[in-house]
This record gives sequence, structure tokens and C-alpha cells, in this order.
Amino acid sequence: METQKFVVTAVGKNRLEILNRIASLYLQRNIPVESFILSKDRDGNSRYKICAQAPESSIIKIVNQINNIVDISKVDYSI
Amino acid sequence: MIRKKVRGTEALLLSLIAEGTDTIFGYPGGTIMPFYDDLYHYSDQINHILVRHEQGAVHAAEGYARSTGKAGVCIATAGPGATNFVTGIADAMLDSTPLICITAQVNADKLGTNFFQEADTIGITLPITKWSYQITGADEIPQVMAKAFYIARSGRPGPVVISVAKNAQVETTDFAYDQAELLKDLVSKDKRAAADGASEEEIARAASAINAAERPLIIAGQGVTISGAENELAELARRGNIPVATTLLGISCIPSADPLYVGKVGMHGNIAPNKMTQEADLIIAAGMRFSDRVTGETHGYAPKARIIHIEIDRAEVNKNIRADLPLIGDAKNILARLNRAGIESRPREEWFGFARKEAEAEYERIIAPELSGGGKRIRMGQVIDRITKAACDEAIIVTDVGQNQMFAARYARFKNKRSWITSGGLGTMGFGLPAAIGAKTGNPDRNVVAILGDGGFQMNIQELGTVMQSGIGVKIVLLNNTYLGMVRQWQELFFGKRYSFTHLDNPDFQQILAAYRIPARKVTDPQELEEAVSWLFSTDGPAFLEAAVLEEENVFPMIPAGATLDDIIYDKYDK
Ligand SMILES: Cc1ncc(C[n+]2csc(CCOP(=O)(O)OP(=O)(O)O)c2C)c(N)n1
Ligand SMILES: [Mg+2]
Repeated sequence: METQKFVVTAVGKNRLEILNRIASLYLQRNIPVESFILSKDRDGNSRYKICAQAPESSIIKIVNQINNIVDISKVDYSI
Repeated sequence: MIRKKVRGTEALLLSLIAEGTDTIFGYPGGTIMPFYDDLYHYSDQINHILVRHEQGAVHAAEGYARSTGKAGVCIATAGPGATNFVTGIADAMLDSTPLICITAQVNADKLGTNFFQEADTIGITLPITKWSYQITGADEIPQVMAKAFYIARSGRPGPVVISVAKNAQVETTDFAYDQAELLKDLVSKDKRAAADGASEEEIARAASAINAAERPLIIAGQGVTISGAENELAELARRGNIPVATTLLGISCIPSADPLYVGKVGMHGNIAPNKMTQEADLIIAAGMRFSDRVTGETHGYAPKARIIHIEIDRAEVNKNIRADLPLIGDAKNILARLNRAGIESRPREEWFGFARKEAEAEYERIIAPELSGGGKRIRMGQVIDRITKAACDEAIIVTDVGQNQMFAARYARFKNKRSWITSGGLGTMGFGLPAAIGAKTGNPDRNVVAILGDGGFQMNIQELGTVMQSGIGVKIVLLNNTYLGMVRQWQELFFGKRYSFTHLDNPDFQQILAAYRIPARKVTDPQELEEAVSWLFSTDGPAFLEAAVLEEENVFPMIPAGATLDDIIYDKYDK
């Protein structure tokens, strides 16, 4: 399947657990992560930014699953 | 609202009670001892069932949850107690079962030191929980527990793990439990808005797709049971005169005798609904996730159909199968809205005729020979059939995994909802006995029958001790074929009949049951089956019936792994 570099950005609470849950979604699908940035935004929320090369269909599924993580309030992806 | 100064473990107990917990399944140990010490004083308010292995506690909590609709609660000590939970938690995750799994943890200041019985419970269970939290201070307890129950039960339910550090158990805290207050920062607003689901326009489009369909098929999954949408489902089927199939986990969400019910889809499902899937011009999938056991090879699935997918979990939509009209939301809510959207009835004589013809073919080719009493050996289907009959289709049937499970799914009949409990997604051998213990605990007035294979029974056979000590009146049925039957079937069909490590030299189960002081019988002759089954139900309290069944029986029909629903095999000469 055709792969491309995608950046997924999720916003939620500052809990290390979330980082782990997101990482395990990539791990489960055997998608290598190129970078994973955790930072704090102006409102005190945590921003999780993951860059990985994958088919878009996989990224959409991962985005949906990240959205299911309790304490994540927003998630989207871009090229 | 209660407000007082208590120890952390008492705060845990008061939180459980405030959430309506009446039963917990557990096993004590060093780190959880403060909790058990307080439990001692609360035994009039909480019924604790002492299991024999922590895996049994989780499956029992699952059986309790799935039969009652409440969250199941189980508790274990740190380290090995917590790691013994893992299989059950994974099972509950895949089968969307609301659980609160409480495990002890070492003192917060000792975390990460490889302290005695320290295991990273949260780390181990992260990928198999809906949510988890490590409590390191007693003050956190009420809020975390309120959140845990809310998350476990809401939306698509699932297991939650709460790991409670020893110091948090023994510290004192001010206890107050105001649910609304405790939950107020739970979900961010935009996320809640998104969960509200399908728009009026989408509902209207789905309704007109239903009205335009000539060969529609409803496929109902466990989501219908979870959301309590049984009546709404039946109403939609009636209004549109639409045949209804269920998935393996959807069984019992519609009475087996309903004239619109056409059976179960999937790998060992009925022929009619599987073929109807391939012929349908519209599939209305309600609360199901198109698992590979349902779809077979996905590229050939439902080639002629548009698909309406009613689903609460957005992540399931378009995951395995394309959804032409996704309706996101709670099945009860969506189905009720569809019912108000002007669904029209059509005669569909040809379509129902097709279903009838396929059902008759299955009856003649497979069911009648399996159920007829002619042979010298007992067939698994016969046992299930006689049990269902003796219980007037009103028992809760809990199964293990393997051929026993598939024969139970094929031959058990149901009048009541929430009467079928099986391990679907994970297919966990050893599930049956403890899950039945949990179901019986939650439904003391109903007949609960565990259908087990000789392999799976021995995976959690120690729970006979729980049955004995707690006097749990489960009826246990062992289909003893002296094989890991389902694996043997695959070896016979697809591995040149090389029975590699699937034969079991079994112990004398009658002696084992005698040691546990549980009334037990063994039946070998088909002529004696009926009498043995009536003995099972007429015996007070727990009872055990072992049926020595035909060793090399196979479950048919079957859609082999990697095949599409068009490639049903009817018998072993047929592949
Ligand atoms: C814990 C676990 N281990 C292995 C399997 C693989 N497996 C699936 S069915 C089966 C055979 C079950 O044998 P038995 O319990 O005797 O039931 P039968 O099929 O004979 O009715 C096995 C080994 C499993 N599902 N779960
Ligand atoms: Mg067996």
C-alpha cells in the first residue's frame, strides 16, 4: 500500500499514560514512528505530535483510536 | 451524600457501594490486606466471592456484568495477583465488557525499586484497558472511582484497571461522594458533542435506503444488548418486515423463535444469514464490528449491499468493511429514531422464501442428522438441544471456547435477552466455568448452565472450589470428546489429519467432582441423555453432567479461514 509521511496531533490532559497509549497504537500496527513530541500549549493542555510514514487508511484508523483515549479532547492529522 | 474521615480502603469500599456494587470477586494477598480487613466489616453490604485464581475473578466479573448489565468488580493483590488478571482484562476489552479491576500496588515511595511483588500493572495492561489509573494518595480515591465506573459503563464499555498503592490504602482521607461533582471535568465539551451522533438528515437517508431496499438484512451484535435496544430492534424489523440475523455475541438479543429471526452469521453460523449477506441489497448492521469471524475474507463480503452501520465507536466504522451510511451513536437511540422516520413494510416474499429454502437445506443436511437420536454415541448438538428443551429456552447459557461453544451457539435457543455469554473476540479457553459463576451470582433465580470442553474446563478447573465454598448453583455440562476438538477439527480438515498434540488423556472427572462434593453424573448412552439432563436440572444447587461424546465430531457448516462467505463447506468431503 502507498505510504506517506503523516503528522498526527492530539490534545489532551498531561498524563504520561496517554503517551504510552498512543505509542502502542503505532506499535500494534508495526508502524515505525519518526518523531514523537510532547509539549504543553498555552491553555496548559498537553499536545502530542507524532510523525510517521504509513498508508493514509492506517492513519485514519489510528486517529479514530486516539480519539477514543479518555482524556484526549482533540485529534487530527495532516501531511 | 456521605462525608466522613476514613481509611483509604474504606473509601474504596464506600465508593463501590455508592456506585451500586453488591458483589465483588477477588483473592487476597499481602499488599491488598488493608482492603480485606475493611471488607470484613462490610460483608453485610458487599458479597465477596472468593475465587481460586485471579483469572477466575475477572471472568466471573465478566459473567456477572454481561448477564446483569452492571459493571463487574474484581480485586487482587499486587504483582502475581495483578498479572493473573491479564487474560481476563484482554477478554473484556475485546468483548466490550464493563469491569472495574482493582489491584494493589507497593508503596508509592517504593515504586520502581523492584520491591517484593512489584509489577508494573498499569504498563502491562495499558493496551488492553479502556482506562487505567494508579492511585498514590487516599484523597484521589472517590474521584478516580467515580471516573472509573463512568468510563467502564459509558459509550462502548470496557475494562478499567485501578492500581492502589499500599500507602493510599492506609492513609486517612475525608470521604465525600457526589457523583456529579466528581465527574465534572471528565470529558471535554467538544468530544461530548461529537458523541451525540447521527444527524436527522443521516437518519432520514438511512430510512429511505431501508424503504428502497428489496433484500435488506439486519445484523445485530452485542451493541444491541449493551444499549438495551432489544425492543427498538424488534420494532424496526416488524415495521420494515426485515429479517434479523445476529453475530455470535448478539445471540439472545432477539428470541430464537421470532419469525423474523434467520440465525447467526459467521464462521460456523447458519447458512441462510451467511448467504443472505451475499445476496442482500442492504445490510443494517446494529452494534457490531464486522469482525473477521463474521466477514470472512473482506474483499468478497456483501458484494451487492449498501451498508448502514449503527455504531457507538467511531473507530469501528470503516475499519474492516466500508460503511455507506454510518450512523454514529447509541444503538437504542439510533434505532428509535429510525423507527420514527417512516419505515415502510414490504411483503418480501421471495427474500423470506430464500431464507426458508436455505434454512431447510441446512436442517436436512446438517441439523437433522446431528440431532436425531439414532447413533450409538452422543453428539454435542444433542446435548445442547436437550438442555435447551429442559430449561424451556429460559436458561442463561455460558460457554467455553471451541467446538462446545460453536455447538452451543448453533443449538441453544433463547426466549430472554442477556442469556448468552461467551468469549468472542479473544476466544479465551477457561472462560466458561468462572463466567458462569459470575452469571449465577448476578442471577440467583435463573438457571445458569456452563457448557465446557474437556480442555477449557481444565484451564480453570480450580474454580470448582469456588462453586463448592460459595454454594453457587451453576449447572455444569462437560462435553468430553478427549480432544482439543476445535484444533483437532482444523488438523483433520486442513493439516492432513495429523493430530499433533490435540489428544487429551483426561483424569476421572467424576472423582474430581466427588472430591469437591458437587453432585455429578456421567452419561455415555444417547438413550440416557434425556434422563440425565432432567437429573441435572432437578438437583438442588450446583450439579455436574459429563457427556462422553463422539470423539471426532466436526462443527459444520464452516467458512474456512481466508475464504469468503460464498465458500461455505457443509461437511468434510466438501472442501
Ligand atoms: C487459552 C487458550 N489457549 C488455546 C486456545 C486455542 N484453542 C481454541 S479451541 C481449542 C480446543 C478446545 O478444546 P476443548 O476445551 O476440549 O473444547 P472442544 O473444542 O473439544 O469442544 C484450543 C486449544 C484458546 N482458544 N485459548
Ligand atoms: Mg474437547
